[in-house]
Amino acid sequence: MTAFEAVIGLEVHVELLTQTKLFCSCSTDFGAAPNTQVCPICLGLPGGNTPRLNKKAVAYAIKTALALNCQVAQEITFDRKNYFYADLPNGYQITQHFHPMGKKGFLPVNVAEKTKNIGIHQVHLEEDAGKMFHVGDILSSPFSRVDFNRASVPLVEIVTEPDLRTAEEARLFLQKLRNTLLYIGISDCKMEEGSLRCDANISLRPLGSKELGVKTELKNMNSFRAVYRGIEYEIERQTGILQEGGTVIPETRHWDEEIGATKSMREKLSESYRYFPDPVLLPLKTDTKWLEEILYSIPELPDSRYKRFTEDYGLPPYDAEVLTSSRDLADYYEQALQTYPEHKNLSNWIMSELMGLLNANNMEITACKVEPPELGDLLKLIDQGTISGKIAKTVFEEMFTTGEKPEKIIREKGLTQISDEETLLKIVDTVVTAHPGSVEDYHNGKNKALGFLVGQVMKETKGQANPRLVNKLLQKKLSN
Amino acid sequence: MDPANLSVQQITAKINKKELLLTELGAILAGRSKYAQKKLNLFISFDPQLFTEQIKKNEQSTQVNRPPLWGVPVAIADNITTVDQKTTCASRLLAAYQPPFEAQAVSLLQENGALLIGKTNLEEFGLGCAGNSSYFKPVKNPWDIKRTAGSGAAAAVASGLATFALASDVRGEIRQAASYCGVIALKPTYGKIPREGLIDSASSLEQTGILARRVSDLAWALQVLAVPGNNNPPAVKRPLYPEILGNIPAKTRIAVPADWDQAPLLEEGIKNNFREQLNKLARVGLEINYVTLPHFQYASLVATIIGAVEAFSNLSNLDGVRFGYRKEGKHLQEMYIKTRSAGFSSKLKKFLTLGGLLSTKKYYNSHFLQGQKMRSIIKKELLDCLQENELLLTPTTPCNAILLDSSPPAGEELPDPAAYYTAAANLAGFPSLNFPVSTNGLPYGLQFMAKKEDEGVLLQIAFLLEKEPIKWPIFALELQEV
Amino acid sequence: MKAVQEELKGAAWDARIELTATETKELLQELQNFFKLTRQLQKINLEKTPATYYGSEKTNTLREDVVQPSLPLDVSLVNAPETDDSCFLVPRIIEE
Ligand SMILES: [Zn+2]
Repeated sequence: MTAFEAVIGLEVHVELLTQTKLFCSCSTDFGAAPNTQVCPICLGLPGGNTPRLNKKAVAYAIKTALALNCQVAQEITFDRKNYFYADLPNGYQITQHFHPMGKKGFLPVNVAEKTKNIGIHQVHLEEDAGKMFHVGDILSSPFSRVDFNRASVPLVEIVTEPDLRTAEEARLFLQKLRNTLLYIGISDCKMEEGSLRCDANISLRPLGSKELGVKTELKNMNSFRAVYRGIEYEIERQTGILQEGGTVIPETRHWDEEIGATKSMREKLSESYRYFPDPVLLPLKTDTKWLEEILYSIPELPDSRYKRFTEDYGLPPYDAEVLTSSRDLADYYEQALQTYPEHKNLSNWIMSELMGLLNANNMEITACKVEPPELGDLLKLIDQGTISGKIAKTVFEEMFTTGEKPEKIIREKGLTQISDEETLLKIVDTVVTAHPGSVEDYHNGKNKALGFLVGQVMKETKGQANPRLVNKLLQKKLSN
Repeated sequence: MDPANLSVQQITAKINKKELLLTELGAILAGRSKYAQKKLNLFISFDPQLFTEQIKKNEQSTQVNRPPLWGVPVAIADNITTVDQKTTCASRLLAAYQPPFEAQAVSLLQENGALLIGKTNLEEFGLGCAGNSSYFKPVKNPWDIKRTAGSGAAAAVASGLATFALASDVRGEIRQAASYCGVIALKPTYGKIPREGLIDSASSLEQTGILARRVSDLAWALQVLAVPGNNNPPAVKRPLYPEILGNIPAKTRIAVPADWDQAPLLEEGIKNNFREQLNKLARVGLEINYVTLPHFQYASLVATIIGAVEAFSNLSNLDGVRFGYRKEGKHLQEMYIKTRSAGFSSKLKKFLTLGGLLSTKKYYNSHFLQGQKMRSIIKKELLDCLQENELLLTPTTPCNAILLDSSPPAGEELPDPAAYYTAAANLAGFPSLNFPVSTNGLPYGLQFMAKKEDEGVLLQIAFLLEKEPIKWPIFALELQEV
Repeated sequence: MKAVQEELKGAAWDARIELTATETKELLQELQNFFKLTRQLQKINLEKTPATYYGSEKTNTLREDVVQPSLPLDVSLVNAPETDDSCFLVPRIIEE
């Protein structure tokens, strides 16, 4: 049987975090009442053909192109993609067909311990369409309702080269891309809300062949999991067809999450898109000074941060990977380092305690009430012996819920560790007197008995006793 | 003197001296407009009450420093948006469309005290002058009601219903209509008058222009309207147009294409008259230079290619969803087809189909791209010519206004022969002016073209030629009796 | 011209227009002269000539990202042929 190789390219749309639309000053706020964020320009009203380009959207698109190592266009031009659809107010979408904002970039992705550069074919700026609501599903809906609030919201489209070979590679790439875009702050990249959308072009070819096979376009994948499963399914489906000697039909297919399969869209009209330069939007030169400003606004990206975390901080690769997987998390870590420069210890705490609580509460790091320096303070208190590690976990939970400072919680709850020998000696005496059996066991060589007695002292002190000191005092007492 | 034939300055002066009451002027114009509408069909919206209200507002104003267009009656073509009157583009698709915003040019006129007398009829979406596509029937020419006027704006100015009018120019429409109706018209430099609110069918060619009976009135209108639009950087320096009219440079050189008489369908009468006009110009001391513009002959063709593709795209928003006429269909695509097939005139249906054809992959490079390249050549030739000469002169139209019921129907040819001389200015974005002259009792015009931003010299040459007041059509004299 | 007629049908569909038989006949007639001229145009070598897509040599300007009021809902909907209380209504999308 012939072995096949999948050739996958992604088209990723991200909504930009601008206040206003691409060509008018209507708000882009999510969730407003239908058709309350529209004007003559974005509603395509006659006489409203006076687009006014949003500076921030252009800057964000350039920033994206730079972060993805693209060559940036020297002149910004826009083209019209003409077609009729109910969610498209003008009968054309304004996009950058002939001269995209960025070309010939790449994004390094770690695949199976190796770094693979995935080619970025282009990055371009375009406008979104409106939203349609159907009565029931699209197939049976007798009519549809249209809301144009999203019409003309700025999007950046990132088109990869067909460099991906497996569903896993696609998923890893998409995660890395999302992470990078979050780092540069151009989008909130929420797949569930549609601010990050991913389509995939998938074809198969005999292993070793250089030619491309017939591709299908896969749409409607609304989560990372869906991207993975959708591509996986489509590869299997195409493999099945080819192995039976059939041919793949070039078509658009929808991923159906519920049934876990891709379905043909059965598009009846073969729409011939027309592109031509928008005669209204004059070209705009990208001046060097502005480009430099944008370049400086790009923060340190995950790859270089990862390198620094492993090399400068000596963190294990796993820790560095987790911590740099989000800019906010890495920022948190580095801010906490300012008060607590124990790299690995801090990393452990963030990865287990902090992330554990975040996950349990389904929260983002940005919503965390514990300020990074306060986490540092808490860890310092452990090292100084003021509280035990165990107590610290309780204190941290309290900090996480209330946002109070650790010292205050410890003081108010009286959680300070008891390290005073005299005080502890009295309790040790009481415990030893109360458990003659255990003392005898200890003397008979049963070391476990010591643990029991330490536990009793801890119980008496509600866990505040310094366990190391208790141990020492008990051993001393029993050897007498 | 007939109060309807006062200049901008005369109106202002007479109102200030209380020799003229706006209400009096208003009553005369309202009466005549009603009569003219019946005879010429020049308005799409004419609301005497709205007109009276504007007059009242002006009369009651206690403003001390009155702006320059105080009390001046103006007409607006119905493809320029107004908030208190519908804007139809003479199309069934927009027959009831009430824009929620006003064109910047209209706001400027109102801020400067002008009175909007009405919205004038035009070819559907302002394309052409043949009188064959308005949903509201053609406009009749005040010189001969059997002929097209080209536009209601030109007819209104020629009949003395408005001191000046605003209309758009895609491939020469305002100059052609002015040529047919015997008035002055200026298509300024591309972008000179703000385009906000112009319902444009071909954005890279189209520009709002001004029609008037007097050069000074046109100069005042331009003074008020030539401001940077929202999307335009501030203009470098704006001359005071009304004040420079008499200062034509001593050595004004006028270029004339050596093969000007090769236009298809050029009428014998116009050919002879234009020769006479050239002699006259030489006699007043202007230098006439015959020049070669080898690619000028392609201008109308190229403007048709570009215009069709841009219109195909620009008019795609007329889909029966957010505004305008809708003809129901079983599903979305059928609704589109039914709405647009019933909504556009035959002329537009054919023109948009042509635009659809020329933008397909098969025709894109050979027609659209080749056309845009030829546009560069034509522009370069004009620029070179206008660096050696202040002005370029041709007839405006190769013929007088065409008959409305000619057979076979005229004005459907591709490209439109009427745009032979006019389209080049749209391709290049250069300003161009029609100055009316007449032949066989019917008007036609001399078309002057200048470099970008050189409207001043166009106004100066027109002022020089404006020896006597413009001739009135018989119809205007008839109106004075109303 | 038979081929052109087919192309016109496609182009008309792309413009969402249905030409009547008369209109098609007229347009084909008008296109004869038009194509004669465009054939002439194509013979001119313009390989090295840049295209002019715009009416102006000025450059585009940028707008700051600051929200301005949108249209009130009733104004947005007022010109529409069919709406409910917040949306524009269109006939069913699927054709069968
Ligand atoms: Zn808007």
